[in-house]
Amino acid sequence: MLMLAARDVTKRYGDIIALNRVSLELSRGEVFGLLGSNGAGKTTLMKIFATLLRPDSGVAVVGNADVVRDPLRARRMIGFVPENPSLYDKLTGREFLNMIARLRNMKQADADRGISEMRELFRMGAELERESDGLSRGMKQKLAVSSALFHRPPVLILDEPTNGLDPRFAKVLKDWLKDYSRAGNTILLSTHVTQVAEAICDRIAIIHDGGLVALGSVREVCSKTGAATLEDAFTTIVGDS
Amino acid sequence: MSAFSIHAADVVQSARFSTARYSKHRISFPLSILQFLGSIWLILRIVELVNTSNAPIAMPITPGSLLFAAFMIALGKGAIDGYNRMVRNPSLVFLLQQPLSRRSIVAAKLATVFSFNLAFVALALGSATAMIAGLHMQIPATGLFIPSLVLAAIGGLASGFAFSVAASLSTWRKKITGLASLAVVPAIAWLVLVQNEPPLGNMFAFLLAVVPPTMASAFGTSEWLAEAWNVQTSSPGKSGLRSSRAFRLPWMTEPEAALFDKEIKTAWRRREITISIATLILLTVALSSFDFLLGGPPSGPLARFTIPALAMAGAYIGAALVLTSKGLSSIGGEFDSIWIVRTAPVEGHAVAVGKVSAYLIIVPAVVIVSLPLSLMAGLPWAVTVMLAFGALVVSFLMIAVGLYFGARSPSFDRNTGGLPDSFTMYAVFILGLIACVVVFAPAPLVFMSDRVLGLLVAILMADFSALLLAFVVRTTGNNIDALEV
Repeated sequence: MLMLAARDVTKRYGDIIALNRVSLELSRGEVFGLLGSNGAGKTTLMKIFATLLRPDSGVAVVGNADVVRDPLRARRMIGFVPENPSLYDKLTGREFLNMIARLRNMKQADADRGISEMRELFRMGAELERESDGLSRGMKQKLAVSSALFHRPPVLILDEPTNGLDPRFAKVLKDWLKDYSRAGNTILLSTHVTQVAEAICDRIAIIHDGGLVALGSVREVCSKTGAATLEDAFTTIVGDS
Repeated sequence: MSAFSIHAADVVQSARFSTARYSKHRISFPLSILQFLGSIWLILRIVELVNTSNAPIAMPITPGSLLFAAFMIALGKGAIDGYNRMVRNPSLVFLLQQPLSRRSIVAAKLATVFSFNLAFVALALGSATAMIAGLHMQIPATGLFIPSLVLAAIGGLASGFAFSVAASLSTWRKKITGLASLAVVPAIAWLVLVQNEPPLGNMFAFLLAVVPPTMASAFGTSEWLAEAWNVQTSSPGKSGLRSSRAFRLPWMTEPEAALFDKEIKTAWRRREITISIATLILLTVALSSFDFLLGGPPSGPLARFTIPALAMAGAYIGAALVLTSKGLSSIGGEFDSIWIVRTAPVEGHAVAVGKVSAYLIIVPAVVIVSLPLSLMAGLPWAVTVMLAFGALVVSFLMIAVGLYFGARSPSFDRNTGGLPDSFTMYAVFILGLIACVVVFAPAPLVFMSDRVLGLLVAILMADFSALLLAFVVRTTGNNIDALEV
């Protein structure tokens, strides 16, 4: 069953073509990694799936909801973390998560359960009761990731989710995501860290200059380029351009 | 040289923000210019009419009070700009870490505040001069008033800039010491310009003398810049007093209530509600002092309009300061956090309802501003009720105008606190004024011949303005839904 699909998606910013007829499909229970150089178009594609941007042409679908025609239904199915998440600086972590729960019409018991799970997962204690503007970069990232995970959406769209997390919590998150996908949920994540993609992604795509230049499992992409590691394969495909 | 580089970067950034906003709505720019010129003409025409008809306006408007008002407006604008562009600006970290003196940073930011605001003053005065000359308007202008006005603007901007730093220091003791030291200048300005009312030449000399100390105080803040910036950008999150109580109104849906709660908590913790209430209290006191200054009931053929006109002017100023500005920054003020509501499964309309509901809790305070003057003057109760409805109309319309423009073309610029440029703000304030006059005018006109009917018309106009606000909330919701970020 398809959970995320892009068909010939094109997006321009003025004269710059950020995405050029990109097509890809993600199945239920799949972890899909987007790799690419800075400015390659990864974030644009994720923002289109998250309904923050509209494609100039082509179609993007979450579940069976077109992100342009039915954005609310698409949003009900997703949890999204942007690349540099900015939070409401005067809300505490708990208030922020409760706000997300209320925006999603969650029952308070479910919200409390989800918040407790995230508190345990990321070892958030008193920080959860502090206003966001006094929190560290890593703590803010934990909160942003928690806001996408705690309501347990069937589709997660995570732009550089391990940014700012120390290695211990980056591993915690990777393990959680693997388990979550095994439960039948779909995850689209972008990363600059090829080891993250190697560790958890079932398939990856490499975006370069707005177009898909490689698609397949990590092993397939490596074997196509004759590289031993994904890092080498990436460098070979993207080159020095 | 380093200060110039920083200033140049500020100018380029602001120009690009404005260009981007105007290019999205190409008609906005010519409309703003037309509106700007139209409002200048309107003001000049009113002054000309008053001048040529010899109508007794029975209001203590003197060159001194006008110059003091200009000084205080500039002070407020300087404080807001200094706060947003420097003290509360997270990207200042890239300047603070460079091998350049704090004084260079302050000089650059001060230059930015001066250039943007004085360009606006120059444009306004230039347009007025061209109109007076081109249309042969009979405006009583003495040679020294305009230079005095420019000096008042310079002194006010510099003072306000220094206030923004002093108010951001780490302890109450430092804050009070700083603010009390800086308050000396506006206090002396009030004594000299308003209380003493010397000849214009002396006022010019006074303002000329005020500029160097205000500039020195602005530059002097460089000593405390790092402290103020640290306090404002990385204050430790408070854990002791964070109530988990959720604010909501009974008729709200859960998402609307969530956003209302967030707005209330944010505004309270940023002290925006306190500042708004303090501003309105100051305005009420200032308005009440007019009664004292008038020294009894106003006289002359237009005297019966003096108190109501002052009360409505107070409501308008209060609404513009605390409501329109909130409306203007309603979307832009979300800054990079806009992704949160744009990826939540809620319609833009719910976001707009949550936000506007939070602004509406200030409306009773704006209505109260319009009442004391009328009560102190012993006007009939019907007039006081009329003024209350007038203030209600003004409040609804000023929110609606701010919200409409703030959502139509939001500014996500942290340098301006999510507010658009001065030019747009001025245009919005004037448009709001015109809307208030046009919508509420039928009520007092009917009231003069039939009080009961006049009051009924006032209620009708309040309903109409609320309906208009509801319509703007709906269009704002559509704008939020259409937003690409």
